[in-house]
Amino acid sequence: MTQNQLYIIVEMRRKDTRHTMQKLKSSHHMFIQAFMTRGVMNGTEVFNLLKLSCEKYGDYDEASRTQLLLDYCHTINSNISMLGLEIKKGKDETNGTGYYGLVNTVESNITLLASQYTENELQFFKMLLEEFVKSESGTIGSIEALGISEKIPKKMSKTDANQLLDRFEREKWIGKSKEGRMYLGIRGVMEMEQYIFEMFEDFAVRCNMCKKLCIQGARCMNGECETRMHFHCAQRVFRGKSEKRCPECRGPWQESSQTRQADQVEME
Amino acid sequence: MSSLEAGERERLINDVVKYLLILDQKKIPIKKADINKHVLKESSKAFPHVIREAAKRLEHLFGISLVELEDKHKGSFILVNNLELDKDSYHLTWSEEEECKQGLLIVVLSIIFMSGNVVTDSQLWSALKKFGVDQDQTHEVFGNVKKLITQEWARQCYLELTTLPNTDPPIVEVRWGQRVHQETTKRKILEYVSKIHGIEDVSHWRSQFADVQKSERAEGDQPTTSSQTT
Repeated sequence: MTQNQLYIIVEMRRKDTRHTMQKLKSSHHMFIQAFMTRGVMNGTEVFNLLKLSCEKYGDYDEASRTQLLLDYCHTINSNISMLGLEIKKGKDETNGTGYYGLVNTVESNITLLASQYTENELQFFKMLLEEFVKSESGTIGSIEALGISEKIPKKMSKTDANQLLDRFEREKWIGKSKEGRMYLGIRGVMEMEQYIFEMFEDFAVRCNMCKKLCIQGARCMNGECETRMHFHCAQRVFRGKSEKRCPECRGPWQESSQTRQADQVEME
Repeated sequence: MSSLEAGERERLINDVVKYLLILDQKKIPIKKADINKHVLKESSKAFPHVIREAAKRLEHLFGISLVELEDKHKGSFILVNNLELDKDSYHLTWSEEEECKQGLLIVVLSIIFMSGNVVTDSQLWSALKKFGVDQDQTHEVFGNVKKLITQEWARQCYLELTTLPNTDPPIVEVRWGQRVHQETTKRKILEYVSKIHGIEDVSHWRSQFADVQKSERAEGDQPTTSSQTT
């Protein structure tokens, strides 16, 4: 993470009263409309959007684009907070890439999905969530995922289940690794964080470093210590250190190729 | 509204805004009755005030207009984008399926407009056959086109279907739906048709061009509302 990116996160957390209720212009509208249709966007896409919106309806200066992005997010957020909406920054659990997304901050986020998916499909998703959260590695195999089609109130054919999973993947609710294992995607992580903490409080874990929900991550190898960190967070913590020690219990920390016994069983 | 406290009022307005945003995704007009049933509930009396404030909020926060439909759709609402969408504003994205359907819709709207704003369903199917679209066959891209035209687009108010009384077999007239008038203009459709034919000057199409001019004059006479098309 660069100094710049760190700055963005800190700034976005600070409440900036300068921007409270500032009148929104067409450029802001264009900016937020894109989020409403796309859900999440990575850094490059967001800056492109910013440029497009500002050039069309206002002024754009490439040199100060970082500050401009901050201003836009702050201004929009202070205005839409009354709707329980927020443009948030999140990180992909598999590679640490930064994404921006428009998320619900208040009630159960399932409602946002409700308009685009049937009740049965939503049930499927909720069960998927449960599988992800309860699994040791934060991932499940495709056979397990398809198996959910038998557990939902209205059984679904495997073909339909496959199509649904493809759709979830396209819309970034879930992700799929090269090996075919499925995990909660960037949009799922950002939108469902609160829901997951509420519904699965005994299973949901926070990353020791960034304190956000951590489903996929590295863990302390000491059987009794529950400490976990995102792979990208752990990288920062251990940078320059010769030995990796758990920040809580000082026990040995998981190497990327290592898996605990429980994970081993699951992967087979 | 005086019986509701400010905080409660705010909550209702925000809930209506969110409800409208979510439901509009289906593109089916949102009924007042549903807003009352699912959002306002016991506070249905406050509907006029709440809907007015919700409309203002949609404009201010998202650049979206709330438009109440007329005639047989009176009492239902659609959301219309205030921002002009052109080829440069690719800030919005649709699925490939959506884009293809939109393409077919423009063709259908063009056929209707060029024929003098109304066609019978049989005339429409004849015209579409020339594009390789058949009502009795599943199209490889558009799927069940008959359902798309007679059900989906009719419900979404892209098309207005009227069955003529006392006709056997029944004759159905097809016109532009109210939503179309909000989302595009006759001029734009004429320009599109011209472009396809490689003709620069839209006045080439005498009667249709006269139609465009008449519509624009009529709109100019009306007071501007927040729901202007472009």
